[in-house]
Amino acid sequence: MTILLFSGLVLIVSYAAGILGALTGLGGGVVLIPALVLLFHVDIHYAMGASLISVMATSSGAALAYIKRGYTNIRIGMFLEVGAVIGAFIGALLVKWIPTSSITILFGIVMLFSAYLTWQRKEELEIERTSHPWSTYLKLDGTYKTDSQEINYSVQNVPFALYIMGLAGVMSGLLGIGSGALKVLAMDQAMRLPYKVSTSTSNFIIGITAAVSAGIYFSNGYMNPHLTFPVLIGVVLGAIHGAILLARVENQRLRILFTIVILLIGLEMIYKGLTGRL
Amino acid sequence: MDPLQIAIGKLLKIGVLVSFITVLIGGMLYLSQHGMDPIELQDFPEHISHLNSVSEIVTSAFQLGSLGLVQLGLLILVLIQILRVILTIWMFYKHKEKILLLSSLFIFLVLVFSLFFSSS
Repeated sequence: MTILLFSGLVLIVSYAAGILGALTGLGGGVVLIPALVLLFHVDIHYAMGASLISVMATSSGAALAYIKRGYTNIRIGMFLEVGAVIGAFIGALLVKWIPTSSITILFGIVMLFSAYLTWQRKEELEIERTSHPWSTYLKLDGTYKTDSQEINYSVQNVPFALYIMGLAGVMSGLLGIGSGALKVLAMDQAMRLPYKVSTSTSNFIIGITAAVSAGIYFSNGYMNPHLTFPVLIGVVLGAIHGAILLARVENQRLRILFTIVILLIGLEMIYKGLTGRL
Repeated sequence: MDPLQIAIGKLLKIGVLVSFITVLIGGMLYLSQHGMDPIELQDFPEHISHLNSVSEIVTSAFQLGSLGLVQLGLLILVLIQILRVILTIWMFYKHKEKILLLSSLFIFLVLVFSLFFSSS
């Protein structure tokens, strides 16, 4: 394959990854890593580097549209991110002592269960509740705009969300991938936020998390410009497109999309745990 | 809405644009020189063959090296993430919100330490 053809094809895949990343709050590595490794036979280290770039690109590209609409709750994001950072540190320490294959399978099963919970939640039917005291104290409650109205939302179980975020951090430290899904779940299932707020806020913080690993990836040579060039171009364009789409699509339909994606992550993790591949 | 929140949005917009254009120019330049060469990304070599330190990248980019420009664009992308944490620190400082200020300061320190330690 020539470099020109390769770049063109990777650009198209990255565009799709960018759209999906912006709509689900997962950054795009979910699609990108398997596609690069299985379809293009790219070495896993380069694929991981490309995935990291895709996370930062989605996070920054999509955020432009989200912040303007008020979807991104920066206060919730920065507060929860502390849990993820501490978790990632613990995960990196534990990595020598814990067999990652069994953790990967366990994580896969958790994803399948989460897919069920996500699919089942009917946020439009939930009655207005008072916020958790931590939320009131930290003023985490927020408002976002749709075309016709402003929607206020309350924030539930903050400590539980912080705990899931810590777990997400441990997972990312242990396994390197897949923690984005837990971050969205912390906001969707524990805090009971509107779906668009959860994905947009997740998108805001995953770029920061990715930047923490960026230095190590650069100095280990995971960032290969042959690959990162079409990935960045494709993902940025896709993420901007995805962010525009997000405003138009209803929460419930986005929720179904997210369900499908984490179902696939779950299966991917179980496959990975059993075979040791990917 | 909070003016600083809008500033964060603007920073992201300009930052992504600069990073995107830098990578695009580098990539186009590279394709015009090597577009017809075969691609080799199957193996992860023992010795890194491409630019991977800040000084190498910047030197190459200033000489208009195509891959140097691509890597510089990626560095700009990393820089945006740091800058936005700094802006949130400033935002929480102005609003005198102790816990959120401490949260973002903590994230900033972890970020800077990880980048500093891995590049030295």
